[in-house]
Amino acid sequence: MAVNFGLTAIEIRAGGFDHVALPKAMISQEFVGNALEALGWGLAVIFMMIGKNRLAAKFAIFLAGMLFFDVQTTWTLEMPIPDGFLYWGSALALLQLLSAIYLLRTAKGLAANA
Amino acid sequence: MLKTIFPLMPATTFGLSAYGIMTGEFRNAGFANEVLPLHIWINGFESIGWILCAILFFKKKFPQAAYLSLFLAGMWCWDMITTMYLQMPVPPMQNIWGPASVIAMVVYSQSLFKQAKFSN
Repeated sequence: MAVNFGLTAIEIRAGGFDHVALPKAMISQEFVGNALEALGWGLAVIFMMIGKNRLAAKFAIFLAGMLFFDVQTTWTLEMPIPDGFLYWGSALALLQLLSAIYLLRTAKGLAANA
Repeated sequence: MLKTIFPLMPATTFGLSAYGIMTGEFRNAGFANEVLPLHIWINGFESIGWILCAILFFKKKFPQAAYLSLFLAGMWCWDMITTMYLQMPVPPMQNIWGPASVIAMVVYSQSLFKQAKFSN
């Protein structure tokens, strides 16, 4: 996830999305959004690796929300991404939520560590 | 009392936004016409989501309300970032109140997680 969003952010920066029917002021902010998602997933991985499953899960749920909004408001646009963004994008957000559920199920101990 | 009222605020503002987009208030923001209906749908979704959050809290389903509010906060966070510099009929300085409102939602979510812990 971190890599995917990072690459998208770089692609936006490089002008790959300039032709998309969105105002310029929005396209530049899409870079910020994607970059933050990349950072967010990077942090989620780190939290998972150090055993802070519940905190990682919270990050995953928040980030899933971000992606869901992105998908639902841009899927009709011509973008340099695979076809069917509505479907695979929504499925991806669902997958992110499932990963959160997995993290919560495998969290150690009764006391929340987040 | 505050925790019951809080979700009703975004429920109202997102509902008003959806209505505003429908009635053409956002037509000069620079959005492509094709995405305006999508924004109506998603603002409506968020409004209903926050109402659901209030209902879940009222029914003392604290963890569910907490997770839902976190997801909704993420949704608004994306919206907030990507529309920050557009000309829209919203209060000025979205770069200030926008992140603050996301933080407020996350703080609310965290307070529900704490309440879930203590009520167990």
